[in-house]
This record gives sequence, structure tokens and C-alpha cells, in this order.
Amino acid sequence: MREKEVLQVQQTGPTRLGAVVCPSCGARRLHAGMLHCDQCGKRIPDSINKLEHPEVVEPREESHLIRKAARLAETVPSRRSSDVAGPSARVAGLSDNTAKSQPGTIARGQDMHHASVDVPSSMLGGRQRVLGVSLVAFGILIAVVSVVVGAASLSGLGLASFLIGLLLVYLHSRPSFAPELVEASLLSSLGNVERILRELGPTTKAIYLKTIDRLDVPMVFLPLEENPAPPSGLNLSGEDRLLVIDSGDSHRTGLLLEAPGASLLALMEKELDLSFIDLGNDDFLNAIRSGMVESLEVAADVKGAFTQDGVSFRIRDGPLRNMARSIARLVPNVASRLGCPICSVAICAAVKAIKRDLILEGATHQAGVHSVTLRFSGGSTDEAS
Amino acid sequence: MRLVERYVLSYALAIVVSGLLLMVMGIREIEIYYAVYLIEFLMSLELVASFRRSFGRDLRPIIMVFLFGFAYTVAQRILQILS
Repeated sequence: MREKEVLQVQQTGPTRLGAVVCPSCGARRLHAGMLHCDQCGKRIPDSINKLEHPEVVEPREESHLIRKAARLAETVPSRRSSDVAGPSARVAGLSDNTAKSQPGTIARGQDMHHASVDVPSSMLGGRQRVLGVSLVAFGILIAVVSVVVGAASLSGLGLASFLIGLLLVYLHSRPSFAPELVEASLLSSLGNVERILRELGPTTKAIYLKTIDRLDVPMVFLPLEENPAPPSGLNLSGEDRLLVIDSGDSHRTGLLLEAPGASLLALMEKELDLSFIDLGNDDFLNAIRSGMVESLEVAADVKGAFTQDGVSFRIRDGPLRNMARSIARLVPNVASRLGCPICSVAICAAVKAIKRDLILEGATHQAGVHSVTLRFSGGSTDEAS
Repeated sequence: MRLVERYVLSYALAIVVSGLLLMVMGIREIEIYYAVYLIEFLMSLELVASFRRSFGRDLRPIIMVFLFGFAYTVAQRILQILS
């Protein structure tokens, strides 16, 4: 039976029924649309005022996450505050497309079925445990039968069954995390970066800075001034500020951010037991592929190619496709101008291996495929070598 | 298919095939089966761990259990020879 549910999904700032919470002093306002707070007098950002309120969604019957939110709505029908819908509703709607302009807003709505695609993993885990226990029991049974019957060679198969069962049970007992959880833990911090980009409004292209040492964290520089021909080396390695201001050189004024994929790259290097800084131009494409597809399993396929003046990647989404889709919708500036974390891993690895600054010409996310185009800063491939 | 699933499937296939082979060859000692399975386990683990180092670390308890079993069979065989 299909039923309509009103999900109350809110964030800090807007509350239900058009009320708005002042982000500065926390005072609740009676209705949205007012420009300044009564209490502290500070301006209410447009982004908060523009937020849409309760929305009708039609959940699919098989999505237990949606059912969970529906149950929650039934149990607390009279509560009106913004935190009523709480975590359940937020998780339920992560892959939404309705809050495009609200990076921190948790989405809800038509794309709820995305979450249900990966939900059966817990069910698979349950099956795996049942299979493992069954195999252990079968192995013991075979061993007993082989002793009773006197067929010693049968006990070999019993042992095999026992060992596979043991392995299945052990592997199942290890914790695993749903992609929805990764998505939920990532979106808020990316939302903050999105707000910084939107507020400061630079329209320049991001430059991934080269790393000198294997322990360097890949950084990305977003100049505040347009510069069609940035220098081959910005030499910002000593900087540890978010906002870099160089009065002598306006091209060195901008935002210096840790690349969104820097941590993932560190994990990938740890899993592969290598550093991309040691790899040559020929090897690193294979290493990126095996790292992202086999080790981290964040992508289904990665194809990279050197062009005359840069590098391009084509990454096909894997288990984190819903996360990538949500990032492209909810934090479009981060996704297109810095690259989503998945694109950023490949870019960071390239920067580390090539040992040159790379300008992100474009990052697009369409139909489960990330396309990334990078250009060498200050010249072509030949100049690099 | 995920790496872990591929690992379990390939290991299962390997030990079933080798088990049947040993059975056809008329091997009756369980220690030999155990040793072969252990070697296959370690080999397949090493192949997978080249992609993911943490996988080898995670399976360390299982490796210890397997090696303990192997040490037990070796000790038993030594005692048998000595007696």
C-alpha cells in the first residue's frame, strides 16, 4: 500500500512551519523572509530564508529507511521542533535533489529509493553468517561420519567445509559500514566548504599543488583573482592558512584548502603499501586503478590518460554512487571546482606522481561517471620532463 | 564482486578441488589435507593482501588458529615417530 508521508527534515537555522532560527544568537523567529534578527540585529542569510519546508514524498514499500522515518513520524506526531524528525529522517533522505542550493540541508524526496539499493547488505551479512555456521556444522558432521564409517578420505572434505565456514563467520563478525553512513558523515563538512566557496564567490579554477615530500598532505589552492596563465610553481608549501593574502602578488591570494580526497589517498597508499611520489608517469595510472577499484572499492572502474597538456580521468562509480550523486547535487561548487572526494583522490595521486601543480579544468558527474580534466600549470608535458 | 567475496570464493574453490584431488589420489591422512589447505589459505591471502594490506592484518587471528593447528599436527607426528 502506498501512503503519503510528511517528512520533517530540518537543519540548524530553518525550522518547520516557516519559522527560522537565527544562526548567530539562536533566537527563533516567527516567520521566514525577514532580513534581520530581532534579538541580535544580525542579518539572516538568504540561504536560510529560501529553504523550503515540509514536503510530501511517496516512499517505496521496500525501503526500510523510509518506513523507519514514517514510524518515527507516527510515534511523535505532535512534536513540531526541528529536531523531531531527527537522524532517521535525515539518513532516509540523503540522496535527494530538492536542496540543491543548500549544502548543509539534508535532502529528501523522490530519490529515496537510492538508499534502498544498498540496504540489503545487512541481509546479505545475515545470510553469510547462516551459510558459515551451516558449513561448519556440515564439516563436523562429515568428519564424524567419516570416523564412524571408516572413510578417512571423507574427513578431508569435512575439514574443507569446516574451514570455509569458519572464514565466513569470522569475516562477517568484522564491522562493516553502509555507504549511507559514509555519505552522512561527509556531507556536513563538505557543506561548510560549499558555503565558503559560495560566500567568497571566486570563479577561478582550483590548482592542486604539487607535493615535495611523501608525507605532505595534498593541498588545493583556489585563487581569488582570475589568472589565465598561472605560474608553474606557486610555492605555497610553507603556508598553513585558509586564506592566503599576498599583497605583492595578487595571483598568490586565495583559499588554501586540504584536498577533499587527501585522506582517502593516504588510506589508499597505506593499503597498497606504496607512495605515489615514488611512481613514474607510466605506473601511477595502474596504481590509481588498483587502489580505487581493488583496495578502497570506491569506484567500479578508473581510466586515466595523458593528454598533450594534462591528464584526464574517467571514473565509474561503485558502491558510493549515491554519495557521489548527492555531493554533485547538494554541494555543486565543491564537486565541480574542487572535485568530489572520489575525483579528488585520483587528482591528488596524479599530482603526487607527476610532481607538478595541476589545474582542475573541470569535473563533471553524470550518470554514475565522473569526468575530470586537468591541465599542467605553466606548460605542457614535454616541459615537465 | 567485492574483494573479500572473491577471496572467499576462490579459496573455497581451491580447497574443494584440492580436497577432491587428494581423495582421488587415496590420501587418508588428515594432516596432509590440513597442510595443503593451510598453504592454499596463505597463498590466496598473500595475493589479496597485495591489494589491501589491512586485509592481512584483519585475518591475523585466523592465521594464528591455522598455524596452531598445524603446529599441533606436527607435534603429534614427531611424538608418533619418537615413540
